[in-house]
Amino acid sequence: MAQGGTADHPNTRSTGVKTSPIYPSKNPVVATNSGPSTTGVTQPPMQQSGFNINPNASVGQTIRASDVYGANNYTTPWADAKAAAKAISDAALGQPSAFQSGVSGVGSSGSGTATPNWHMATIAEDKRQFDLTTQMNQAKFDAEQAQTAQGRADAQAKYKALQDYYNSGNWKSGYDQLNNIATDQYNTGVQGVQGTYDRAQANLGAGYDMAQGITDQGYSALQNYLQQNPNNAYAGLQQQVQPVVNPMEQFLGAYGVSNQPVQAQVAAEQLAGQQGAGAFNSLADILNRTAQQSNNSRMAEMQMGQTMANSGLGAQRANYQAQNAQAQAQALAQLQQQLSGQQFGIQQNQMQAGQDIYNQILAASGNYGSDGSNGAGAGAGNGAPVVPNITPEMLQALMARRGM
Amino acid sequence: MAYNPAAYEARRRGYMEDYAATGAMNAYTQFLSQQRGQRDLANMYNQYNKAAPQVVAGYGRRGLNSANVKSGAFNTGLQDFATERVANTAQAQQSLDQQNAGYDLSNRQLGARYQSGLADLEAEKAQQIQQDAQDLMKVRAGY
Repeated sequence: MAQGGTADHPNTRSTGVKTSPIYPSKNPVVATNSGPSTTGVTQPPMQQSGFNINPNASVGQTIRASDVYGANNYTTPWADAKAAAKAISDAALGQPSAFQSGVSGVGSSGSGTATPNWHMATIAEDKRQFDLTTQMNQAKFDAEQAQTAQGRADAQAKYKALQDYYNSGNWKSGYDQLNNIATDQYNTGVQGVQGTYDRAQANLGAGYDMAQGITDQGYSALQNYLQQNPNNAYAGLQQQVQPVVNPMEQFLGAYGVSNQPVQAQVAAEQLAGQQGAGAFNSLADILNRTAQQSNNSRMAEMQMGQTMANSGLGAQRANYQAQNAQAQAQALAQLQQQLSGQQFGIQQNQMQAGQDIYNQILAASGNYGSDGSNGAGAGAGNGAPVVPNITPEMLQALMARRGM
Repeated sequence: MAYNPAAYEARRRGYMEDYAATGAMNAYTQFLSQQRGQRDLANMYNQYNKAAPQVVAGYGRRGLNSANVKSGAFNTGLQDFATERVANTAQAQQSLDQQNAGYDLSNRQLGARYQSGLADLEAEKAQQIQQDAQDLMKVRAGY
């Protein structure tokens, strides 16, 4: 059904051959298109920038083709695109005659070949739609521009505030205070441990002095008792020997009997008595000396006991002192470990906080461009650019399409 | 056990009462022994004193002793009598003395035991005071 166009430039659109709704097959209404007429029509400079105009296409088709070509092939910086869009919009709104003049050669007022009225109506409709589209795009563009500009200002302010806050180091003050508190707690704990240790040592020293004094008193009392009450029960124990006599000496003398044999018996009995008493006295002497040795042993036992007591007290005091020192060392080590743990946690939280601020700065830097002009450095940005990517070629094509 | 002077005083009183009781019994026994020994010895002397004239008279009846006769048998008999008296009385006296010495020894032993007990008691007091002092130091040290 499509007609018009050439093999090189197939025209997929209707070239103006319309079918009557009453007699679609018998009475086709064919719009004769004898090719592009250059009479009164200025050839747009798009042709010079690579856009080839189909000579068999109508004016409207050419304009649409140029739109499609420009949208697909041209980009321009945003500032240029803005100017170009503004120019196009001004041209479209303020100089509608440009379109009319562009088709004046085929209009009814021209001196050329007469053009059917439906063709002119189509062009007018295209113009009207184009005007509406342009206005809507302009309004949308202006709104986006305003929104983008405000967003960039807000993002810049946020970025600057975050950067100033980060560079000022004020965000560290809380952690410094926490660190100081932990250090103060440690110092207080050390002082407390030292105080406890000093009190324990003082109490131990006082207890030792008291115990030693009591012990000395006890052993002094024992020493005095032993000295004043020696066990000398056998002292002076002796058996006296009764002298043996012969009571019949005078009786024997009276009868003229010699006393000589009796005296021998007296001497023998005296000797036996002395021997028995001597044995007993030896026993008593042994017992007496044993008692004296026992006394000496008791005194030595007392002195050894006192020495052992003092030594035991000293050893016990040394043991308690060592235990106090060990408890002090353990308490200090625990305090040190606690402080280290607290400082580690504080430093970890501080680093995390700094990293969070830095991440916020990076996130803020990406909200208003990725060209690095915001000071955030390379790599900033969050991906999709806010500014449309319009190339100078696209702007030139658009301006040329508008006859500018 | 904390130091308790009353307990030690009770023990000391016990030692003293034991020593007093045993010592008194020993002294009383010694007294009885002495009495008995002295009585026996006195009886012995009396018997020998009474027997001596009878011995002389016996030799006289047999014609072995008179104003004009001094036989050898009379001399020997009278010397034997005197010798036996000396031996028996001396041995009895020595036995009595040895018994007394034994009681004296027992009394001294009782005294030695009593004093030793008191000395042990004082030593225990000192050791208890020492132990209490160590416990006191332990408490003061906080253990």
